[in-house]
Amino acid sequence: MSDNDHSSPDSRRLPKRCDDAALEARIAALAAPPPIGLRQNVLAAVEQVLGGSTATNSRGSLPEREPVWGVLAGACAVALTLTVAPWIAMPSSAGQRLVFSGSPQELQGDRVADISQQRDQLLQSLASTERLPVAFQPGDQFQVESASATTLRPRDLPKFLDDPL
Amino acid sequence: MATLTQALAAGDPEAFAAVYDRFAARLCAVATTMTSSATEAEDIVHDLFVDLATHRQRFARVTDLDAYLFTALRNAVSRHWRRRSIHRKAIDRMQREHSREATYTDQPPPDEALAAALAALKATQREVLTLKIDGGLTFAEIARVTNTRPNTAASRYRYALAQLRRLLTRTQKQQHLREKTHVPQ
Repeated sequence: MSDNDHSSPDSRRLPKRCDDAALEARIAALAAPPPIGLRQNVLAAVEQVLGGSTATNSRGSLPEREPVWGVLAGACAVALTLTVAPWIAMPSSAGQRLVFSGSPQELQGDRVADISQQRDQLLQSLASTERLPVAFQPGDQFQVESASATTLRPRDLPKFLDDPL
Repeated sequence: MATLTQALAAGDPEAFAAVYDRFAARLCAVATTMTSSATEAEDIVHDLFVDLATHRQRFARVTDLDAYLFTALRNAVSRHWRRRSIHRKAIDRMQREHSREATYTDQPPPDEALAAALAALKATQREVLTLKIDGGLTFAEIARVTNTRPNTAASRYRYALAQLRRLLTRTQKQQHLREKTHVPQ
């Protein structure tokens, strides 16, 4: 079809084709249902966002602070190196900490704690999606090509774990 | 509806789950058609919900949830296209094929000719087709989502169907010609 066909006023009066419904049905039949695991991943990520901001507010500090996922968005298109480094570790439930060596500003203050908490939550999500056992070892490094705020979502984490530098 | 949007604005996880259950299939279908990639569509829908949760206070002003979600999806697809590199695209296509084989083995084989014809449509035509058929939106809603007039949306829809039919006919003729050419002697 040429561009003229689209812009011509006469062409707008094309009669309704009787086989339109059949074609529409074929198009509708192309749609596959979302994968079963997508719901769990999406809702886990949503709860991460909702939970993160709730925790911040409950501390009463920086109420307008952007969520941790927003912080990660700031590192968009930057290759970050994740390191499990016990030598800077503070006690946590998992006894390990994540360090974003590519973005020093993210290593300060409670954001480190937030990120660490998220790591734990991500691992819980992984456990629920039967992707465990996943074990961070001290000194392990993982290359992350951050393309969006949700780079570290549970569904993506395994491939980074499978791809240590 | 007002109660749901209020719950979303308040950050109620169950409200987001309800929205997922109600809209995810349609959002995924539209995103799949718009990107021609099931894998990319899943990423987009995933990111969309994260964005919705991040900016959940905006739900307080939403009066038409369908239009809001599909507008947000459209914007997410646009952002995704901007980010996507040629290399990434090639990889995702491969993953898509692999994913379809692995995930939907119990499904009938996809209508490859139609999928190819859809992919060959202009983006605006493909968009209005999938918003109408997969998204279930009215032309008035499509007009709001795509920032056009309802008549424009309806016209694009008609042209898209006509063009799609033309492409399918061409493909059928080519296939018929190939079959005739390769008839064993």
